[in-house]
Amino acid sequence: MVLTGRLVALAALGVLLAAWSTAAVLIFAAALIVSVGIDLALAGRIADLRIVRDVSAPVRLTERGETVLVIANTGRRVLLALARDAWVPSAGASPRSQDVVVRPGERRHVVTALVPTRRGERRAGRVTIRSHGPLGLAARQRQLDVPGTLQVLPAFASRRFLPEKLSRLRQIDGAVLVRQRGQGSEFDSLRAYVIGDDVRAIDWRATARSRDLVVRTWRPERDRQIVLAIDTGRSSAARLGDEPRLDAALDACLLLGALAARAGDRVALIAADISVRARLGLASGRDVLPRLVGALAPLEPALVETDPQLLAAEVLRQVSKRSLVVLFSALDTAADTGLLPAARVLAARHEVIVASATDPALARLAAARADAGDVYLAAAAELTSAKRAVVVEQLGALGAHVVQAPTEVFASHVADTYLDLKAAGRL
Amino acid sequence: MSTPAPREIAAGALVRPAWQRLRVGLVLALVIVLGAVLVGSLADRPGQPLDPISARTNGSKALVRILAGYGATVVPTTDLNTAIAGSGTVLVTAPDAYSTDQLQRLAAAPGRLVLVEPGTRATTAVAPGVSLDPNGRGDEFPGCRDAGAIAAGRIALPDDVVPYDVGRVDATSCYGGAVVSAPNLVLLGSAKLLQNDTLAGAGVAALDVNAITADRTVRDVVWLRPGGDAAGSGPASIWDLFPDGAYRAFWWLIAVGALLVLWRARRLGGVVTEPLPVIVRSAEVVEGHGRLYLRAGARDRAAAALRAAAKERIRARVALPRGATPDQVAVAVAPVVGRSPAEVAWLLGGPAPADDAMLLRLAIDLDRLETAVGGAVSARVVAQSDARTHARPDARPAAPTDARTDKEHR
Repeated sequence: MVLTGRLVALAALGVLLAAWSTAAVLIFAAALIVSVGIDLALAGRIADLRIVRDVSAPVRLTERGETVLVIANTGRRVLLALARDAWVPSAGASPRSQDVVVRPGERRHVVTALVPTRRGERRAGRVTIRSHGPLGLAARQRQLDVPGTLQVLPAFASRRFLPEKLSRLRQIDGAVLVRQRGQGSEFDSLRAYVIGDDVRAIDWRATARSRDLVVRTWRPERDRQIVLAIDTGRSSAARLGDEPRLDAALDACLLLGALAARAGDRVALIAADISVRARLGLASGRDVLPRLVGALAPLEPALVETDPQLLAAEVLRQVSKRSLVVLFSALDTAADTGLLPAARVLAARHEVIVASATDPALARLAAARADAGDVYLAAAAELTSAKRAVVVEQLGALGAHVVQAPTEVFASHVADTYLDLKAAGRL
Repeated sequence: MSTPAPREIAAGALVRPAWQRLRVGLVLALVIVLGAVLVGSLADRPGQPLDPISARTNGSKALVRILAGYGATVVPTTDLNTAIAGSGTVLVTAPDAYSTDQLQRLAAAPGRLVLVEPGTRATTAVAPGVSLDPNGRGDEFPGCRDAGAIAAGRIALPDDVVPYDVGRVDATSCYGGAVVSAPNLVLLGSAKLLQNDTLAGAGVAALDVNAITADRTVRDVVWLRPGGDAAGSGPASIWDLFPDGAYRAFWWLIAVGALLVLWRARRLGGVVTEPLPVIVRSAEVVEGHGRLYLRAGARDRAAAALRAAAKERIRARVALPRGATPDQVAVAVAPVVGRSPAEVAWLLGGPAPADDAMLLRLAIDLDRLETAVGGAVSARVVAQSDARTHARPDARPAAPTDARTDKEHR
């Protein structure tokens, strides 16, 4: 049972009667109690409602989605209600509650806008219906479990790099490879010679058949395999600026996926810490990005020490052909976590990129000179950097490529490395 | 769309019946009521002074029993009109609680009147001329010709007795003014004469019985305790200062306040909890490491780390091979910065600083040296070292690609 402001206001007026006479105020109180009882009895029955929830398709972070509650009244009384569709705070549900009137046999839509502030699966809480009586003095209230989730996809902030990277991809596809006859480049077509073409590309047989000079063109290999291996362990939870390191990795994954889809390569995904958190088989073409986004959306960092060997073993299981393995991890702690042996196993069979978003806090610590305490911190930061440099050197010796960049350009640098390798025909 | 088709949910299946929803509350209410009844019946009643059913020391249950033993029935009441309508004795336990007018109506009633500790106003109302005697001490012996008092004889007089001065009024003053009797009227100078704990004193019970029942001629006793109709100046109440309805309005407003609380406190549904993501501070290990150095005063380690980092950056800047010693770097750098090689060598590889101030100076000197060498301050250098590094020279963008292909075609 819920009392309303109207009842309180009426009761407050009763103070005049109370000052006047005992009998009057007693009658008034009895009248109020009876009215409340009548109001409750006449209020629409909540048990007679049928509710369907419809949640909108997955939305990107900070974009607007919505959820619709279709409330059908199968009872005989009109439902005058205040309905609240509760969601977790990060789902950004608004408005908080809405008035809804459902006549017997009718159905009404209660639309709640959702502007999520966190990635992943945002869960609905319970639906609360407060059914007012016709006098508006009292109401019945119940909470109903009407489950629903909104898929919130990563923001894909690195989309802004995509046009630039695609134009580079087109260059590699055409002009650049004309001059290049690297191993693994596939024969594409014959075309007329234009000034500037590499003379070594002239196909003399074809030239003999035609009246002009003809050159062969190549295009970069297609149908190469890329495996995105993401470490979701403790080091991925570290906050670089505002967001965890994992988010930078996801952003880079999306850019790489979009690029690879355009380049005609096939993409697979493994995310693991001490167990596999997400796995996606090889996909190509238009499929790649939606599938990738769907698999990445619910990933969250876990407070466990990652087992890089597990990640390596999963990658090896996933692909047998020589592939490009992009390992998203942290280099700051790599010396302690056994990343090197795992990279060695992978580098023996695949082309490996180890990508790690760098920590701006480290540079800040290394530069601080305010007092002696700062200098000790700076020394510790320098030691960490030195350790990382050693790891980078060792990875280089294994034949792996290392990408380190601040979060803002991390995705761009990872994509560049991929394009470099592609241009070099190393895939 | 990958989401499954929405399922219709019947609220009826989710709403539990009323008896299920309310059962906890009902059980609690029942327990509270039963508990209150139980405690109330077991506990010693608090009891007011001169309460005819109170067995406490200041009650009067004993006297009521004694009166019953003599065949008198005691009717407790708080209603003045009942008392006035009674034909027997009216015992007023707190005469001062009644107004003069009410006392006069009592006195005018046909029955016998017994007043306990009346003040001067009360005595003036029922027996004009009788007043409190501030100098009186009371007396253990009757000292009068009243039959009841003589029958009671010597009594154990309470210490707080307030005697009365009868003056020239037609009344009998006994026990030195502690008990005043007139026709159909008795004034008792002390409430203790009626209370359980002092009733056993010599002669007290006899005096009481004689006074109340008029020597056992009266069988109906109305025991009047002050109730809502007591309009006297007795125990004054704050409500006397307000108009009539204020009392009701006050309690009504309290009730409205309770309604207000019930209205505002009711939430529209419960709190939805957010499963929060884990948060790990990025440089926590580094900071911990640095603080350990600070606590241990590990100046040698700290200085070595700073020197090694500075040397490495300067070495890269002046293009010396990897693994060059500080001395080699110093020799290469000294002419560039215009310092002596020994000085630079000391900066890059000298002994550990003796105290924290020297460590700080060393760090700043190293920064200056780096700046002088042409590199920016260490922050920028770090930023540069954060930039992309490629393990293989041939993986660098653009130019190396060409270099490699050229080599292959050669």
